[in-house]
Amino acid sequence: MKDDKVRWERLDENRIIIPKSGDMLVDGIVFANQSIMSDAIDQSALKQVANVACLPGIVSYSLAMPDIHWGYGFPVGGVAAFSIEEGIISPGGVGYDINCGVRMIRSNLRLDQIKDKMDRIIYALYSAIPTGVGSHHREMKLSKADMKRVCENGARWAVEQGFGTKDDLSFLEDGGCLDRADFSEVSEKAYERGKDQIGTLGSGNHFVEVGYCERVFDRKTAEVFGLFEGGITFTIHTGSRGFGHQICTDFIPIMDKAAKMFGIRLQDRQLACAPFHSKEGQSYFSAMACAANFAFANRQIITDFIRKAIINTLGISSSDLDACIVYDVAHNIAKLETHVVEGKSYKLCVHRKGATRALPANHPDLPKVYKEVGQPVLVPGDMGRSSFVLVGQEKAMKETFGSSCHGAGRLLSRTQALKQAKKRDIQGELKKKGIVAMSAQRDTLVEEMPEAYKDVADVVEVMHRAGIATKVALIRPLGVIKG
Amino acid sequence: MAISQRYKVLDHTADFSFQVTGKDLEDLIRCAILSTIDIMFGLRGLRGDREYQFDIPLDDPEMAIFSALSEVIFMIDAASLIPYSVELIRQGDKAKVICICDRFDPNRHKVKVAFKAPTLHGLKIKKEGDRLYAKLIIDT
Repeated sequence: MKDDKVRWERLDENRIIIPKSGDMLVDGIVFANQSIMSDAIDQSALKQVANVACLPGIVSYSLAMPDIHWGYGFPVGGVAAFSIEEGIISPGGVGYDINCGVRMIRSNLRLDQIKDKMDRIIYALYSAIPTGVGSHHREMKLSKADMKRVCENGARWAVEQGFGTKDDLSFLEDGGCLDRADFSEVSEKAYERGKDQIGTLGSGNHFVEVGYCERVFDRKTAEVFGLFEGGITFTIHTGSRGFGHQICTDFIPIMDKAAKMFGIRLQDRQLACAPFHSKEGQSYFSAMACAANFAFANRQIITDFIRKAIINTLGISSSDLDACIVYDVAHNIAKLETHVVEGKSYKLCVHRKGATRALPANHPDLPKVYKEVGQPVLVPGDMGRSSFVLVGQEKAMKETFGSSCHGAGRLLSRTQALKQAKKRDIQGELKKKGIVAMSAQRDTLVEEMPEAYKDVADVVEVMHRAGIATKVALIRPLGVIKG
Repeated sequence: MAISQRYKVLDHTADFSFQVTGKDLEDLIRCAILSTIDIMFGLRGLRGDREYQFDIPLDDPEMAIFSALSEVIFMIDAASLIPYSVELIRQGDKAKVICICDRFDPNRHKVKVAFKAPTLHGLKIKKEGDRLYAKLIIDT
């Protein structure tokens, strides 16, 4: 796919197909309705879908969700499953922020109880959670032995240190710990970058948001998830910080060499990869799992900071707050999963880069209480409009390897956003809408302004109408802290 | 020529892209490092005498830039060092990179853009006339 122009055809109301051509081994499928195609998707992102379709061992399709945008290597919003016998694993299919993900916490608080206390709440969260570039914890510097425990135990380690409860773990994807982690595959540099970054939010599009459930679409499922109209929620979006970035950076040159050694032709060098069962493939998989577990532990610690900050600020008890995790999803990850392809069951290496797992009801990997309804799919939008909670459907297993969208997807570059927002007071504009925003850097609020993103409602609508993940609840923001 | 005249910021939806130029590979790498710092913090006002050295391979020019920027981002994130003066000494198919650095101080240094990792996406060094050019995409 060296040619810049990508040929595509509309498959139905919600999908387009990029027919197999040139070196493509499978077709590309992008979930996008007419409005998303005309507004937001550029040729570079479609070309990346086609490039992924050229990778060895890809199964069925190279997929992209409706929040697709130009990334590096894989598009953001990309999903691809590879045979573990003949296929590859690629750091470019996971992304730098390994296990960047979203966690939602529901509470017993109601909008009318906190509406006029938002300044205090946001200030308390901002004070409790280190945010911004290079944010770190002086008092939580991990020794190498502790870092090993974090990497090999994930959120369980955090709970053992007193951050949250054992019950929390049932509501995390994979229980908050990938079992293939091997700390001996992690470089000294990755340790150095990550050792004082646990329990920190970081910068860019990472956030903690306080919101309220404005609308319930699916009452039965919302009830199972603990969501009700007017109920207050807390959403965390962060990942493995510098630790994950360093692991990805370390493995790009290794995979670049491996691809050459194994004769894998790459359409883009950032797609550097190795056969899944090769030494390089297995090393990356184990190191990636370490970063994924670091991220699960990170979100677990931040959850504890949120609970304590709210209890202290409002002077309420833990049971008054009843802050239970709705779910925690990874949206930058590669995992071994079992999927049925053409009637046969296979273990595949599923890469999700800016895509969320979306399991249907009765899936064996669901927590018991969600068995009847399916997995919560958390889809944050921008800080001025809305976020959604969806639920995975059976069709996701048939069409998307159990995956759905992960967010709104950027529309404007950071430079364009800064240009468009010149002389505007984004914090003031949000305040007028009743949203309190605090950030470590002033420019972050501008770069992350609502108009810089697609409307998440349009993105979610495609998934809902396609029957991949259906709408459960709409969450409106009340306040946000950013890096 | 001042560093700010030797790079051009390009538009990229999700991350950060810029083009750098140099008279040869070593100069191009030096320019890529200093442009990175200028974009992230601004070079003006940086001071200090902390020295930091690292080696990069030169046999693969694109990978040489990738490696140099990986090291710089590591220095900033893990060691809080901001290089503002860079010298490259070629040693066969490797180069020793010697950086003189300021120590990151949140009271003195404003982070304009946070770079988290370099990418190989679309990275290709091109020769035009007597100069080399490279387009870089950085994860932010």
